[in-house]
Amino acid sequence: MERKIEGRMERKMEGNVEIKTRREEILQLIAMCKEMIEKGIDPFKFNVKEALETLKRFEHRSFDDLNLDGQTIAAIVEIVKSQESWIKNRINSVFIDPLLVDLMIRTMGKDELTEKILKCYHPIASIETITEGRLKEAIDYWNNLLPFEERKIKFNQLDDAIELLDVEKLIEMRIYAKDEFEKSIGLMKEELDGVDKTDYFDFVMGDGRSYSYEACLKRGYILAFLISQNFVSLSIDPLKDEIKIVKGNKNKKKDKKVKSIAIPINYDLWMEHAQWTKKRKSLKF
Amino acid sequence: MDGACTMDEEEKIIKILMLRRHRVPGATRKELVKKFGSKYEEVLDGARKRVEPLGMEIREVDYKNVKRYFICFKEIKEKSNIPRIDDLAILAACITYINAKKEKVKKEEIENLLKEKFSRRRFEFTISRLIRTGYLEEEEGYFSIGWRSLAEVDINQLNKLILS
Repeated sequence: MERKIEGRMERKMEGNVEIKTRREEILQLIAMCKEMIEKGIDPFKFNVKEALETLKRFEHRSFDDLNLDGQTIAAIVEIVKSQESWIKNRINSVFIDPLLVDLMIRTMGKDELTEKILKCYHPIASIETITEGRLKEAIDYWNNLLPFEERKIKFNQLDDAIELLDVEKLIEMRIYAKDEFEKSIGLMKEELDGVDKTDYFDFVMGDGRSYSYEACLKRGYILAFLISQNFVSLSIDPLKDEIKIVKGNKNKKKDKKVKSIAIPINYDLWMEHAQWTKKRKSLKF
Repeated sequence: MDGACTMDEEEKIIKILMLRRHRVPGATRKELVKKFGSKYEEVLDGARKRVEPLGMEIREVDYKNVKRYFICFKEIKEKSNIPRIDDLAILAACITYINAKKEKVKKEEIENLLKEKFSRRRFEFTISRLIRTGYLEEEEGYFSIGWRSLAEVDINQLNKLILS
């Protein structure tokens, strides 16, 4: 007899626990619906069918249960509504059928197309002008400029004086020792091994004043040597005003013309770069 | 550098954005940070208020992951100041079509679209001019929208107008 009562009590207890967990489940469902709508999360991430199945399993034993049931249905309806508006929004703003666009363009006249683009056309206001300072510089330059005939003679003299400095010449001039040069190349190759793409000036000039001006010049020279050996190449983006060192020679493609460029490195540039990298650090830019 | 922005700084930023120094007008975010430090946005806001009464606005364009700022006219009513009608119609067709495709478009597709209304000589000439002036970009036979179209044309509005 006692065992029977115990068994009933256990079943009753189990039943209560079940009711409690189902109630929690329903409450969680309502909270989830509200959160999705408030935060604007993709409403299609909510499984409406599964939610209705959960609701179906929920037995109504009191007025509170009925109330909860109504609240859940209202929340699910809100989700379905937001699914509908989400689709409408997608159709209007993001998804544009290329076939429809093609058709519209073909059926529209030139004037109509022009009229439409003019409504959304905001031309850039920019001007190429001469500033007062630049004009003064130009006048000074003009005043100091020698007559062409004289300059021509100088140019001819310079032509004889200018020559390319190759490694042998540098070694001959004792600017570099052969061992030192090979060692520097090896070190830079190792340094470049861990790099896939990096800014040219950051690489040559380092961060802040991590390299002296002389060291920068040497790094620039060694890097130029490695570029000429196709160990790395340069990618230049004039729009971003950036020069990047790229692993290997990606310009080897048939269509792309490989050309050599001169990148000037001078003391002012080195100073400016050191200041800029310092500032960049503080701005975390 | 930090602190409230001054009128001088606002004038300076307007000059930087308006006076062309490179092939592309305007300035990048990096250039402005270099010049005005972290308060560059404040200076930009001040400059926005100053150009607004003149019928201009400062537009921000995200092009190839680089933010670039330009001063643009809000609207153009004077027809004498706009490019040729053919050029604009070709530009409108190209931008809308490329945008709808959401990717780069083959040269042949663009040609198919345009040859119904324009002679080959006309649209080839216009397209090469649009590429030269930065409205369109061509890479290995594929077309994409150029930096200038992003800066000057409200593409979403254009789509709505064409589909409406």
